[in-house]
This record gives sequence, structure tokens and C-alpha cells, in this order.
Amino acid sequence: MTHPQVRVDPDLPEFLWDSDGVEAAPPPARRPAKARDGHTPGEAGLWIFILGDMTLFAAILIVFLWERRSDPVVFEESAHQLIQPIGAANTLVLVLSSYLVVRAVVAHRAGRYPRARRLVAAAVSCAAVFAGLKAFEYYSAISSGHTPSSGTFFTFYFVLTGLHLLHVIVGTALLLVWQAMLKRRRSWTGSQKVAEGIASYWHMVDLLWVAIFTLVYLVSAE
Amino acid sequence: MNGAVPRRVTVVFAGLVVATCVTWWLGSGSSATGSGVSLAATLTVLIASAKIYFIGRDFMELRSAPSVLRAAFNVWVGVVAVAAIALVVVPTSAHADNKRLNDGVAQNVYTIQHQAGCTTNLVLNPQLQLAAQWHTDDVLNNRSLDDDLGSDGSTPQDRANAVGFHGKVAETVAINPALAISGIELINQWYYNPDYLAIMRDCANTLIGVWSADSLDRTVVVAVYGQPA
Repeated sequence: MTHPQVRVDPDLPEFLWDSDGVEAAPPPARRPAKARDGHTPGEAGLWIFILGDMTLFAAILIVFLWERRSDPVVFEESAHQLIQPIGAANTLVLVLSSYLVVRAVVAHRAGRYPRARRLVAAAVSCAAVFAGLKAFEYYSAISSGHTPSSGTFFTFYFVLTGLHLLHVIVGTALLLVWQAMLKRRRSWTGSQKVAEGIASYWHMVDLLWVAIFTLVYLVSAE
Repeated sequence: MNGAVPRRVTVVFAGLVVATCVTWWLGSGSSATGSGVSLAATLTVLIASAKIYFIGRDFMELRSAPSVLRAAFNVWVGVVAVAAIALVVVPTSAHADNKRLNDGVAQNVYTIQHQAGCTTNLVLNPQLQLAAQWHTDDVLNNRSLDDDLGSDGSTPQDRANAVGFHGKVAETVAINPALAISGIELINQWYYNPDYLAIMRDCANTLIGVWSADSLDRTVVVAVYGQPA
């Protein structure tokens, strides 16, 4: 164990901190309770925001599916106007970026700052690719006459993807903040809450896109 | 902890990539009609839910998070998945939709009559509607049927007589090999059929009954036009 603070309960007396000591020490009474309690990534308050945001998107998606029932044919025709390969590529791009962020958290935790910085930079590049593809998608939709006011389907399409794109932009800004922290070699103990919070937010951006792509691009076209 | 990502996370990432490709293939590869549609849609939603679950569990590290947080996240995934599948698969509301469609058909026929110079009114008739319903159900369930004739060999006039309507009747039928048909699609189908157009333009038809029904891969709409005896 080269980084005992990662694995060892900091409440334990210091003489138990070496790896043998941890294994040999009789488990203190409140350790199991602590393990059951678990570790909240980032600030607890952030999770209220994340779950609230997810619920907002869920509500819009469910209303979208509800509206779809009253005119499945038009929704199907409209969904076929979307460029599915771009939606699929963007899903892969965001999943990749999420994975890179996980790796960046692990690297930061281990104090490998340059590596963590490179990983966050790669995730930011993914975000840029996502936004670029989205811009192309909007361009081609609008130039073939589909605007937010051309029918229920496209209203929902632009509202959902627009709100999501806003989250991508905010998330990218947060990733850049994290990168600046890495540049200043801010230690994990000092920046854990912020870094984990940013990572969690980014994963939310990823999973919301999975839901939007599935319901708006795929299911509606079936 | 040497900065290496746990293998589990990498496996999840690989799984997410594969799942994305599978759902995309399901979406673009499945045939456009048939009961495979709702199955493919259900599968697509289920796979997406699994993806989201694993993003939460292994990327967000909810795996080791307090149980309240884990539970809240899992409830979100479960509720959205169930709601989405229910809204995609359960074909009811068809009732409300069919009523809207039926009323729309009568309205469109009225418009066509008046464009043809009719000054008469067009009244919904419950007997004709019942006759239309009989034939709709018959055609929906007997796939060999594709026009006016019923499975018992009955003509529209036979069925009108059977419900106690003794005036002269005519009938238009639409069969669409899909879960639904839009009002516009329907009226186009009939408008460009010369026989049907003639029926719709006949000013003597002042009564109408419309019915529609659908199964997953077949939608049937029948309109019965009547002249008072």
C-alpha cells in the first residue's frame, strides 16, 4: 500500500496504518456500519441537483412518448428524418469521454497529475466532437426545413437536445476547471469533492444522452 | 492504488460500446412493420436502461455510495424504463385515437361532398356505425379479406339490413399494414380510388357510420354511407 490514505480508515490510530496492521487489526465496532453507509462521490448537495436534473429530463421524455401515442405515424416519419448514425456516433463519443473521466479520477487519486490532465483533455476533445456533430445535425435538420416549430416531434427534439447540449457546455467548462486544478497539482485530498462532483456531472450528461438517443432517435423510428 | 483503472470499469466501457452498436442495429435493422416492432422497441429500452444502470454503478461509483443514493438512482432508472416501455408497447389510447380518427373521416367526407357541390348535411348514424364496426372487426381478424365482402360472404347492404338500416348503402374500406394510419393518409387512399371518390361525392349519402380498429401490424377503417329509406 503506497497510498494508505486511500484504503485505510483515517479514524484508525496511526500505528495501524501500515498494510499488515490493517489486516491484523480487529475490526473496530463501527467499521461495518461505515462500509454500509458508503461514500458519496462529490458533495451530497450536488446529488440533489443531479437527480433533480435527471428527473426533469425523464419528465420531458415521458411527455414526449405520451404525445407520440396520439400520432405515431408522424413521429415515425419525423424520427426517420434524423441522422441516426450521427446520434449513434455521439453516444459512443460520450461513453468514451465518460470512461476517460473515470480514468482521470483514478489517476488524480493516485497523484499522477500529468496523466490525469491528459485524460481530462481527451474527454474535453470528445465533448468538442459531440458539439461539432450536434451542430452539423442541427444544420442539416434546419436546412431541410425542420425547425422547433415544425410539429410536436421537432419541438421535443430541439428542446431535449438543446437542453442536453447546454449540459454538455456546462460540463465541458467544469472539466476545464478540473484540468486547471490538475495543472496546479492540487492534491486529491484537497480536491476530491470537486473532482468527483465534476466527474459525476459528466457521467450524468452521458447517461441523459443515452436516454435521449434511445427514445427520440431509435424507439420513435421503429 | 497505482493509477490503473479497475478491470471491471473497462469491461463496463466495452459493454456500453457493444450495447450501443446492438441497439442501433436493432433500430435500423428491424423490419418496419410487424409485431417485431414493439419487441425491438422493448429490447432497445431495456438495453438502454442497463447502460444507464452501469454508468451509474461503475462510472459514477454509486456501487460504493450510500444506499439511499443508490436506491434513488435505481428507482429513476426503473421508473423511466417501465414508463417508456408501457408508453411504447401498450397500444390502448387506441380507443381515443380511433374515435378521433372516425370523427375526422366523417368530417373529411363532408368536406369532399361540399367541394363536389353537395348542399346536404352529413349525419352520423349509429346503425351504420355498427355495420362498419362489424366489418372492421371481420377484416381485422380475417386477413384474407380485403374489400367489401365479409367472411360470411355478406355485402355491405346485407350487413346494413342486418342492423335494421333499410336504405341504400355503400362502403369504403382501408387496410394499412401498420399499427396506425393517419387521417391524411386515409383520406388520400380513398380520394385517389375512383370508385371510393364517387361514393364520397354522392350527395344522396346523407348518413354515415365510421369505425376503425388496429392490431400491431394491421389497421382497418370502414365507412358505411347510407341514404335514408
